[in-house]
Formats: sequence, C-alpha cells, structure tokens
Amino acid sequence: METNEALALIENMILSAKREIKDNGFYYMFWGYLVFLSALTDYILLMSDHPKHAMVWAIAMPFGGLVSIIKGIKDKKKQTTITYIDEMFRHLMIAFTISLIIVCFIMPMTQNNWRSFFPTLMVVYAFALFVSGGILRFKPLQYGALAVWALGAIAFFMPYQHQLLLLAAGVLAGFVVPGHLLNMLFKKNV
Amino acid sequence: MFKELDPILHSQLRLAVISLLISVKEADFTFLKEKTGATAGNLSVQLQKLKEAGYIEIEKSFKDNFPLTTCKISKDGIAAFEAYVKNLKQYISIKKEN
Repeated sequence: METNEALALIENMILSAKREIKDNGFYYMFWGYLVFLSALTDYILLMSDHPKHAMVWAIAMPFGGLVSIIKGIKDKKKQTTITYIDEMFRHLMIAFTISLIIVCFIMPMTQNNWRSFFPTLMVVYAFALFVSGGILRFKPLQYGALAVWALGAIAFFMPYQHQLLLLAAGVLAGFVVPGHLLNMLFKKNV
Repeated sequence: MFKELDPILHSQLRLAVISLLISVKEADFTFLKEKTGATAGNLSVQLQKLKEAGYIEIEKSFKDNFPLTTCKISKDGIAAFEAYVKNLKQYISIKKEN
C-alpha cells in the first residue's frame, strides 16, 4: 500500500463513520407536539373553569415517557456503533432527567407551589436544547433554545394561564421546528 | 529520524478498521464489515491480529440470541495510530521534497 493510499483510506473511513447521522428528530417532534397539545388542552380546560384542568399532564407525561422508553429499546437493538456523540447525549440526558425530577417533584412541594413550575421547566429544557444543538452542530436547536430562554424568563412574570401559552410557543420554537428540520436533514443524508 | 511504518497497521483492512474505531467509542462486527466491504472471514482474521497486537479490545456477547462481537480501540491502539499517521506524514513530505 502506498503512503498516499493509506492517508486516503484513513480519511475515507473517518468521514464514513462521522457521516452516520442517527438523529432523525423523532424525540424533538414527539415531545414537542405532546407538550404543545397538553399545554393548549390545559389552557382550554382552565378557561372553561374545569376543576381538574391540569390532569392532562398526569396522563400525557407518563404516556410520553412510556413511548420514549419503548422507542429507546427498539433503537438500541438496531444500534451497531456507539459514537462519542451518543456518549455525550447519554450524559446530557442523565443530567436533564435529574434536573427534571427535581423541578417536577421537589419544587411543587415548596410554598412557591406551581407559580414558577413552567418557567423553571422551560429554563431547564432550553439548557438541554442548547447543549444538544452544540453536540449535533445543529444551529436551529440553539436558536430554539434562545427563544425558550426568553419566553421562560417572561413567563416568570405571568399568571399560570399565560405561562401555558408561552410554554406552547416555546416547544414549537425549541422542539417542533428544529425536530422537523433535523428529520429533513436525516432523510437527505440516508 | 525516518521511522518504519507499523506493519500491523500498514495493511489495507487493518488500517480501515482502526480508522473506523478511532472515530467511534465502539462498533460491532456488522458495522465494520459494512464499512470496510470485507468478507466476514477476512475481517475476523484481521481483527484477531489487531487484538493480539493489543490495539483493539474485542467483546463477545449475545443480542436477541445472536452472537454479537463488539470492538473498541485500546490506548495502545490510539498511540499506534497516532504514531503511524505521524510517520506517514514524514514519508509524504520527503516524497514531495524529492
């Protein structure tokens, strides 16, 4: 083997391994639509004075968790490599889940109750979105994160019903739109 | 100083495998076979040679009742690959000067 051939081979193989874009944007689209619809349902029920308006979250979130777990198990079966990107995502998801558990279960126990719940949640997921965008080198996720941070900061000053609308707008900007763009990119590369 | 290229790495298939493994944390046999275009038999032999040289770690397990071979580059493998690329660059620059 000639030295030039060896160098070309190395370059080819490294590029070929790098080109494995695995993220088809499923989780961004799925969670985006789920939270969007839940926030709007909560808002509509609240506006029509339904006493259990927030029940939608108790149904939608465990459903989302279950679908994600099933999809995760299925994807793992098909996985032929673990890239460094997968590894970084694993750490990010652990950090995100721990933060989410604290926000969802510990925060509502305080006197503050639900007043800061959604704004804090938005700040936490904007953080995860921004880092995801950096790992994937996918700017739309980072622009989405900036929008969610801004909406989250505004939401701290708003009443609960308006926070729901800001949350719905946030997931559209941070999850749904970048998710679809990521999906288009994935289909183009496959 | 002009160093000889590592004979373990200076072979098309073994170099392809190491170049793939340097880019990922770990990869299974199917992935390596697909990317290198090698036959299963030849790939097995070359993986074994890389393992004997201490350049890769091979783990055999089962996935859905099928045998699964997972490969991972070792610290020695990374060092050998870096040295190989460094020497390769020297060769190429000398060629250019001539």
